[in-house]
Amino acid sequence: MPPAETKENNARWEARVGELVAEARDAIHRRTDRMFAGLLVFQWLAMIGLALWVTPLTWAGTRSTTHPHVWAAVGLGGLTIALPLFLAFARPGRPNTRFVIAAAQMISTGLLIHLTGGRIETHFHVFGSLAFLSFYRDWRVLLTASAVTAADHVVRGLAWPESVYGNIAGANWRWVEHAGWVVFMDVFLLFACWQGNRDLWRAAEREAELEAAHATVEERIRERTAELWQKEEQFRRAFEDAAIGMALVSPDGRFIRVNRVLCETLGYTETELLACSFQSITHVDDLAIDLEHLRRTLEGLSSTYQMEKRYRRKNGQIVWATLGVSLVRDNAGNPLHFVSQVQDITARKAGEEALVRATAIAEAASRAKSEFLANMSHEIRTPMNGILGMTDLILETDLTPDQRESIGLVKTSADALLTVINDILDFSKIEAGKLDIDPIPFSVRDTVGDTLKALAARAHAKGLELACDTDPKVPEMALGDAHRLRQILTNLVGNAIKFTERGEVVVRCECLEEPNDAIRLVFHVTDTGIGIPPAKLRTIFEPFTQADGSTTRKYGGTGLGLTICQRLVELMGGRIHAASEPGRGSTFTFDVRLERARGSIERTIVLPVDLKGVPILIVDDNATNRRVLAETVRHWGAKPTCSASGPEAMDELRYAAGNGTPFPIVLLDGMMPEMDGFMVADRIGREKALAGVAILMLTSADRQGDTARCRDLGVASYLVKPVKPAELNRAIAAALYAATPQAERATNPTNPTIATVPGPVAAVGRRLRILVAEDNVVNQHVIVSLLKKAGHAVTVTVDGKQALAALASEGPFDLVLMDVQMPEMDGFEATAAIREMESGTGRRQLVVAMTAHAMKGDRERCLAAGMDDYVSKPIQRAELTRVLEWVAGIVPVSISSQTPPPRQRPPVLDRTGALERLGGDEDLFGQVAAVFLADAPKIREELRRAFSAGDFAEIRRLSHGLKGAAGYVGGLATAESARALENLGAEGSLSSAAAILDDLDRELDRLTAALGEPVALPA
Amino acid sequence: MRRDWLAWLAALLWFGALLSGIVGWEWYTLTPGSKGTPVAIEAEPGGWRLTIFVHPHCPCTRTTLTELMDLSHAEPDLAIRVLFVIPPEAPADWWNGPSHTIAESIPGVEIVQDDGTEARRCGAETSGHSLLIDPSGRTIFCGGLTPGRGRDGALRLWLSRMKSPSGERVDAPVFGCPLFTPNT
Repeated sequence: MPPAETKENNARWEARVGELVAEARDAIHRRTDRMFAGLLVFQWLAMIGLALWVTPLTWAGTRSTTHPHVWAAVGLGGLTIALPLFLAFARPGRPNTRFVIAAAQMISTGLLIHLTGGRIETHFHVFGSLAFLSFYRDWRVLLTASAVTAADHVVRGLAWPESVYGNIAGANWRWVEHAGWVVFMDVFLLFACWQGNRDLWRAAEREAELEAAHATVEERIRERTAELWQKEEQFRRAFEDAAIGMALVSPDGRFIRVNRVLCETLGYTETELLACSFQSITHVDDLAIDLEHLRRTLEGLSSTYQMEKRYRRKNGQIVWATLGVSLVRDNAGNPLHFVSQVQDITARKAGEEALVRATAIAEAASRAKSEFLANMSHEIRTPMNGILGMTDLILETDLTPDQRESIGLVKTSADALLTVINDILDFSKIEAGKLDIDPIPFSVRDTVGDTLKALAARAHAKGLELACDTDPKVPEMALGDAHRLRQILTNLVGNAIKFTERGEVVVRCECLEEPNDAIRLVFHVTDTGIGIPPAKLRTIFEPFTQADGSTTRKYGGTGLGLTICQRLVELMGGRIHAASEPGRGSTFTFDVRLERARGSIERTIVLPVDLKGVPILIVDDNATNRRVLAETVRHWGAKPTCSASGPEAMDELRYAAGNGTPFPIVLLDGMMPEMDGFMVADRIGREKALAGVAILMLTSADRQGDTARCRDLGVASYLVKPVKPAELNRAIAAALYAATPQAERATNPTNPTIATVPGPVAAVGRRLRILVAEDNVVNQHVIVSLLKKAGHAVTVTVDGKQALAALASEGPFDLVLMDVQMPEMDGFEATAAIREMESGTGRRQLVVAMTAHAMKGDRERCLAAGMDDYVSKPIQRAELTRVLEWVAGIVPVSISSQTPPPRQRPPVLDRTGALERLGGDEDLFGQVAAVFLADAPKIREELRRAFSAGDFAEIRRLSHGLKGAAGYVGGLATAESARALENLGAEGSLSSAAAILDDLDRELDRLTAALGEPVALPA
Repeated sequence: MRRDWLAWLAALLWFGALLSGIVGWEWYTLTPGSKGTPVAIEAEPGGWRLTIFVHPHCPCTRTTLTELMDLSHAEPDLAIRVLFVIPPEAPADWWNGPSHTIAESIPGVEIVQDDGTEARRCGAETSGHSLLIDPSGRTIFCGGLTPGRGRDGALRLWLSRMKSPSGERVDAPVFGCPLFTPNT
């Protein structure tokens, strides 16, 4: 079969087969020619020998001569073989050569027959000769030989029959028999020749196929060889021309092959490198590691390794290099050689060293910058404190309108300046990566509500509605950085108020579930302000950017607020983005990832009062407010009905009263067009049918005299929007409580649980004894004025030493406001001394730091120094009020004079205070106390374990939780001990922890015992 | 082509030369030896008797003797006498040789040495010369028993002719070596 089914290939293959047949035939002919040459010579010699043996001599009497047969054998025999011999050597393989050979062979046979006197046995030579001649596989040869024999037999048979057959018997017919045998034999020999030729063709075909296959294989081998050569060439080129040093290294470390770059890198010639091992040029300090890697690789523990090492150049210089090594194994897995890649990184190493030095320098510069910022912060805030504080004080005095306007401008400008400073400091912290998130348990609703309340005045001053819509799914408590969350909200809502001239600003808070018991709070701050052009939306989060350059001029601001918000949100695992429509308003949306608050803190939440089935009329011209309020009260079970105006509300009230289902509660917006809230309240008060309706006045403006008007109109509560849900709940509950007859309260326990709530506007502050340690005269004046104006007793010292002396001489104060930076003895030292003095006494002096440092770590440093809280200067009245309220909540003793008795240790159980914080709900207090009693032993045990393990973070966490839990049940002494332990945990110092832990144990025992005692009923 | 032609020509010449040689050789083979004139061939009456004169070393005569062996089997009554012609100058054991060995193996043969006298008397000059005498004592055959030098196959032909009823003497050529040394 030809190798491929194409005509061209077929013809080529057939031609090749023909060539092979011809070659084979030629070889056969030549070989047979040579064989017959030998055979003819042999026969000739045999012929001579035969003649010499049989008829050596001829005689004549006693005289003898050589027999003519001998001469005939020599002569005729020699003549017979002369030509065929010549042709066999001169023209081997030619047709006429073998024809002559055939004729000679048969003539030789005739001579032999003649010499043997026609012996019949000699005739067998004829058949033998024909058989031999068939070796030629040429029918023509056989025919030639047969013809010669036939001619010989016929001619001699006719002429001299006895010369053919030895006798003359049958001479007339024997030649026919002989010829018949020859023909018989010829037939078979010709058949054999034909078969031989056929085999020859087949062999040639097979040979051609083999050749084709061989050629194909050869071609493939050539191709593969070429590919291998190409790959080898590629490898060689890649190896030789590699941009890095490369080497093949034997398993014992000798270089087998190296490239130019390696030679240049190491400073050796190729011959020198090939004569040495890598061990000899490796830096002695790196050799052991390299050999260890090598050993692991050889043992199959790894297939490659990479390391940085040093080589010693020929001139002694050290070269740093990155070495990558891989091991090549043979098919049996035996190591062949390593392929090493050596990259000179000396320059990089030098760069790294330079970088380290530069980094050190930069860090030093950064520290210097931080120090500078801190100092600048201090230096700026100190006078700012004076400006703001004194401005507040002046504004509270009797001023002419012009004076009030001027001072108001001063106040506004100072506030703006403080905002700018705070923004810049925050931004500096963020840029320096020194702003951290400090997660603590906090009330989400209170945090949002407080934030909005702080901004309410600004919104109301512009006549804006400020509303908060909190999804009921939002948990009461969460674990996160409330301070930073408040900062974000303040910024976004502040911006919304700033850029909104009319309409509303609404904050919506949603909660999404997250894996691992986390939550994601999503806040939407929507305003109806000027909006932001789409092209600017992408850039508003970039530093120093506002939507329009002109806005900076018009509205002020640093342009850092949103950048800070964005970074803070990112720090809290969220994203912030904005959507806006110019002229219609903007919505800023951000989300933060928080964790659910766990343990007693979560379980001691003040539950809202159940208002199931209570109909409430909501009157507000603002649709958002109506919706928010309706949703809020509906969440508590109430049935809200909304009215958008005063007359509509009056109609609703009358209709409900007429149906015998009057509204017991009206949530009334104070400011509405045409008929405002006060007018509606007045109308309600005038109509007898509406008697008994409790009015809760909600107003956006805390105007002077409004409280008095409310009291005159019989308004149950006066709330400033945005109202916190808890606050609203308490107000509604109080109003319902007041409206319910006492007898009914006693006999109808199914009524909503209503507690006595504190005053709706602001907590009534206790009069406290406060020690102020402040060296700056302005600041002294401001803080003292603020405190005295609030009715507190103030003692002033100018440094830490004097503060200590005051404490020593005047006994414990309810609060020490401690400036951090003071001459002689600063706040940290003084606080440390206070704590040192308290050590082992079980007492704890509340110390709140005042610092103009607003840098990262200040709060931590203050807490670590044993301070209990932290306010930054310039002191904001709101911040100061927060601290004072907090202190008033902890300190049980009210002061009534400038010289109160020395402050005692906090009581074991402040039941009254705890009840107040729980809305006066005894049942709830009982539940909270039960939870505390159940949790306290576990916490105590965990604290002991954490103390044994030296786990500061756990001590701090547990102490913090215990502090909060104890505070909820009024365990002030326990909370104080827990706070002390928390501080120690934060400091990472447990030197005095054992004593405090013992103290905590004692307080816990006492608190547990006190909580277990029956409640003493008031007399 | 030219070389082929030359080859063929050479082959032709070669073949012609061979043919000539073969013809010459055959001429030699078929050329009989001389026959003398018998001095007296007288025999007493008796059975059939065949007398043959043999040169002890003539190779052609061995064929004759081989024929005689066949004849002795075919004609057991035929009395065969082989006379080895030993010239006087010949050495004593000259007559021993292959022919003598063959002759001795012929059953009933009588081997006689002849110093040439009997041969000459019978006109025998060439080895293989034979005389067949019938029971009456007449010589009915005189000549060689082979049709050529060293060739057999003619004995029965001669015998049939010898025993022909015509009773005429048959003469035949003798193929063999001369019995006598020339010029002696």
